[in-house]
Amino acid sequence: MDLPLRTVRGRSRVGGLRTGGEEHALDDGGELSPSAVPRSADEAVGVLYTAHWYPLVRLATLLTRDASMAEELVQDAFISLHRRWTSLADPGAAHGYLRTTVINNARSALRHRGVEERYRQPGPPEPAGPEERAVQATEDARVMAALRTLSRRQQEVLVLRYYADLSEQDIAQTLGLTKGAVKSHAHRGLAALRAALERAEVAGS
Amino acid sequence: MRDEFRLDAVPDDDPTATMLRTVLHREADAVQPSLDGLSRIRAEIARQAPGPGTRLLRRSAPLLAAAAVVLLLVGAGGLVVRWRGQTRDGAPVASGALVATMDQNEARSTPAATVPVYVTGRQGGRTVLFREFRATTADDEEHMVADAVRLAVTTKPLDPHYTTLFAAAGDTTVTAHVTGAQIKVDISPAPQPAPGVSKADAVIAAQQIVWTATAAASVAESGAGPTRGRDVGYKQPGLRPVSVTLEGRRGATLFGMSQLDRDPNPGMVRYAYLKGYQDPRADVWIGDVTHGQHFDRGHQQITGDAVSRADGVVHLVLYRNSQRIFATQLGLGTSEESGFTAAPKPGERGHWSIDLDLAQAGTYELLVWTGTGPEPALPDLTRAAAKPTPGAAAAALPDELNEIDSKVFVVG
Repeated sequence: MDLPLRTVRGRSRVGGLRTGGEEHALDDGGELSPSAVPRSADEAVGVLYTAHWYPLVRLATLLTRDASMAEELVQDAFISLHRRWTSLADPGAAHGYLRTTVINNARSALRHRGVEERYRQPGPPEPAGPEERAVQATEDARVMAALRTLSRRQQEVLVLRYYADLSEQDIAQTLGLTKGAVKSHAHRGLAALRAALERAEVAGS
Repeated sequence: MRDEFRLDAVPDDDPTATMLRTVLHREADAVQPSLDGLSRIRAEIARQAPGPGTRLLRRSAPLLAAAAVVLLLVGAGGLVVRWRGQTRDGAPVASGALVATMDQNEARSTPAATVPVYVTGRQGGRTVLFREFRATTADDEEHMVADAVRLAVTTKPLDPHYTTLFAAAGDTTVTAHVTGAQIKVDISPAPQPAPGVSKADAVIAAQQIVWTATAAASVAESGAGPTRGRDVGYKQPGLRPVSVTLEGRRGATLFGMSQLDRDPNPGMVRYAYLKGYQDPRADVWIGDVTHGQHFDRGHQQITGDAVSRADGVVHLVLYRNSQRIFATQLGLGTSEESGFTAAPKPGERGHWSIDLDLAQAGTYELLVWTGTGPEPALPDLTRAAAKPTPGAAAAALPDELNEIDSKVFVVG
C-alpha cells in the first residue's frame, strides 16, 4: 500500500552514518539532513536501515506481538520506500514514511490475523530466576495483557507516545488522525488501561 | 472534560503512564532483530527490479507497458484520474492506466482459510460488485483461484440483499492456470444468466470473474491465504489479465451478451482507474465483514470504502437486536486515486474506518450509506442473520437517493 509522505520526527539519537564509503548526516531525530541526502534509493535504504531497523522492528513487535511478522512488515516498508524514493518530495520525510508504513502494515496484518488474536494472552513469564526478575516479568505480562484489551487505535497511540516518545502532533501525522482524535484515544486508552490493571489486580488478589 | 485532556500534558509521574513507558521499553529491549535485515531487503529489491534478466521481466513483460503508463501519469501529475460514467461497450483490453494500490489491502484483509469472492447487488440504480469472504479448503494458488471463481458463479451470496446474475447450475467445473503474467480460467459448462439479466449486467458478471480471480491470486501470493506465501514475484494482481474460456473456447460470449477476451488480447482486467470504463464496485460498501460473521465481545474495527459525494462523508447506523443504538458520520480518508496521499475529491473513492465497542451480545446490523436522502430504513435482514441460508430469496435494496450497504453480524 502506498502511503502519504509526511515529515514526522522521531527522537531516537543517531549520528553520522557511513554507507558505501560516503558519510550521510542524520539529525538528532534520525532524519536525513537536506545537505546529505543520498543520491540513490539504494544508498537511502542503507542509511535509513542503519538508523531505524532496530527501533522499527521493536515498534512493530510491540504492535503485533510477533517478532518475525514485525521484521517482514519493516522489510516491506523499506522496499516500498525504495520504490518511491525518486518521487519523494521531501527525503527528510523518509523516516516518517517508514514509520507510517510499518504501523499501517501492522494494522492490516492484525486485522487479517483475526479479532481473537487481539486478545491473545502473552506467553508465560520467564522461568523463575532471581526474585526481582520474576516479579518484573509478571508485571510486564500484566501490563501488556491489559494493553491488549484496548482498541487497536488506542494501543497505537499509547505505544507511539510511551515507546516512540512522539508528541501529539507527530502521532496525529503518523496515524493520519486529528490532534483531537489522538487526545481522545490517549485519554480513553489510559483510562481503560488503568481500569484493566485494577481489574487484573483484584482478580489476582 | 475530554477536550481538556492533553496527551503532552500528562504528568511524568502519572503512575499508569510511567508503568506503561517502563514496560514498553523493557519489552522492546528484549526484541533482538535479526542482523541480516539489510541483505534481505536488498535481495528483495533486486528480485523486484524490472531489469534485464529478472524474473519480473520474464514473467510479466506484457504488463510492463501498462505499468509504464501508470508511472508516466503519476510522474506527470501525481494523479491517475478515473473516468466515471463513461462506460463503453466492447471487449476490455489489458492496457491503460490502472493503479492497483488496493490489491495489498485486499489480500491482507482476507481472513485465514477464506478466499475473497465478488458478488453482485443493486446500488444506485445499477448492478455493482460487492465482496464476501468464503471458506475454502484449497491448498494451492490455482485451486484457490478456481474455487473462488466456482463459488462466484455457482452459489448465491451469503448476504440476502445481494443477488446473483448466474442461473443455478448443476455440476460446474472451474479450472485455473496462474502465472505471473496471466490468469487463465475455464468454466464448463458455460454459465447461463439468471432471469432478467441485461447486457450491462453481463459485463458486470464478466468483471465479477475477473475481480474474483485476481483477488484470490493476490491472497495466495501475499501469504495471506492457505498457500502462505508462495512467491510468484507479482505484486499487482489488478494489472494481471484474466483470460476466461467457456468449455475450452476462447473468445466466447458470456450469457451471449458480453464478449470475453479474444486474440490478441491477453485477457480482461479490472475496470478501476481504467480510462473509458466505469468502476464496477459498489459506490459504498462494508469491506471486511461477512454476513452472519461471529465476533467476540469487545472492540472491533470495521472498515470499508465509498465514492465521495460532495459532503465527503459516509453515514453509519448500528442496530442491536433491531434497536437503533448508534449513529454517526465519518469523513472519508485518503483516496485510492491519489495513491492514498490525499482526501478524496467528489467522485473519488475514499476509505473509512470505525472502532466499535461491542460489549453486549446480540445480533447487530451495520448500515452504511452516502448521499443526501433520509436515513434508510433497516432492511428486514436481521431474522436471517444468525444462520445465513444458502439460496435465501434475494431482496435487493431499493434504488434510492442514497447508496447503501449493510451487514449483519453476531456478537457473543
